[in-house]
Amino acid sequence: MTVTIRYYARLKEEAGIAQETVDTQARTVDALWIEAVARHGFTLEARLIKAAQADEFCSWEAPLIPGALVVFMPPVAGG
Amino acid sequence: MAGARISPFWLRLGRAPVLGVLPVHLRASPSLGFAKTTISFAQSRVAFAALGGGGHLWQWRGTCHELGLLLRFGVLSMSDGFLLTEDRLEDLPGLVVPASSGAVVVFWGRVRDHNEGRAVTGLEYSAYPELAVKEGQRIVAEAVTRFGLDAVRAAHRVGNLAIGDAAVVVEVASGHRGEGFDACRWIIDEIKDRVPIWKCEHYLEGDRAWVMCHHEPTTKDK
Repeated sequence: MTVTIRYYARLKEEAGIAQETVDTQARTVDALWIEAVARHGFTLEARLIKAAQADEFCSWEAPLIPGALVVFMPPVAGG
Repeated sequence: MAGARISPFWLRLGRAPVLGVLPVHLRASPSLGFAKTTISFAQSRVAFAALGGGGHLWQWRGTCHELGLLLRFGVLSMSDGFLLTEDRLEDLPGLVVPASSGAVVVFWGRVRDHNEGRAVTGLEYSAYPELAVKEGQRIVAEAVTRFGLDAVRAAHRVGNLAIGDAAVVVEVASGHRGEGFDACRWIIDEIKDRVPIWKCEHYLEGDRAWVMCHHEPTTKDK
């Protein structure tokens, strides 16, 4: 299926792109992250990353929704 | 919350990108009664729908300038909400405080000229706006319930900020000071912990770095 992935902050810098649309074999958010790490060589541990799908936080086990926007977020630092 | 208020913030929305989710009270006409709804806005277009008195659905769509006029003439009033804006937070009008509130607690988070031993010359905040306003609004709504507050507003700035600029403001109105202080502290802690906003520090030496929070995330454990 095809999904769009968006990166923020340090992940965006490490990937060198803010967003990409990929054709993936992954069926879960977790598997999509593993593919993204293989492509971009992210240095942050997965346990530090939060994921969102369709503009809501989601678990790593969440099934991917075809065509959805998946967002990977490094630890937040607002305020 | 009763009481119309002229809000220059809203009038400026047409020129500045702002994202937010704000419950508003409609006070359009006696037949509509008071209804609470949520408006979502991005850039300069605004749309909202509200259930008025007698189950009548009241819908409106227009520009932020037009919304500003509705607020200015008291058709709408603004209450609890969370805002994300590139505008200076110092220019926000004050929170509308009901007569029942004996305490108003305000927290300003400012850009500091140093962090962890390094001289900082400025900050850049970036946000995932679609989720940030949702999560911020959830925090505000939770605070109202948890602490029994009369009114709350929180706002976070994004974009490039200079030393001394306000990055975040939390305003809480409550019956007494105790719940006001507690709520204000709780809200800023929750914002820092939960709202997808990131801070990049620019240093005197010319380099920059994304700041990492020193807490353990919880999403993966849920």
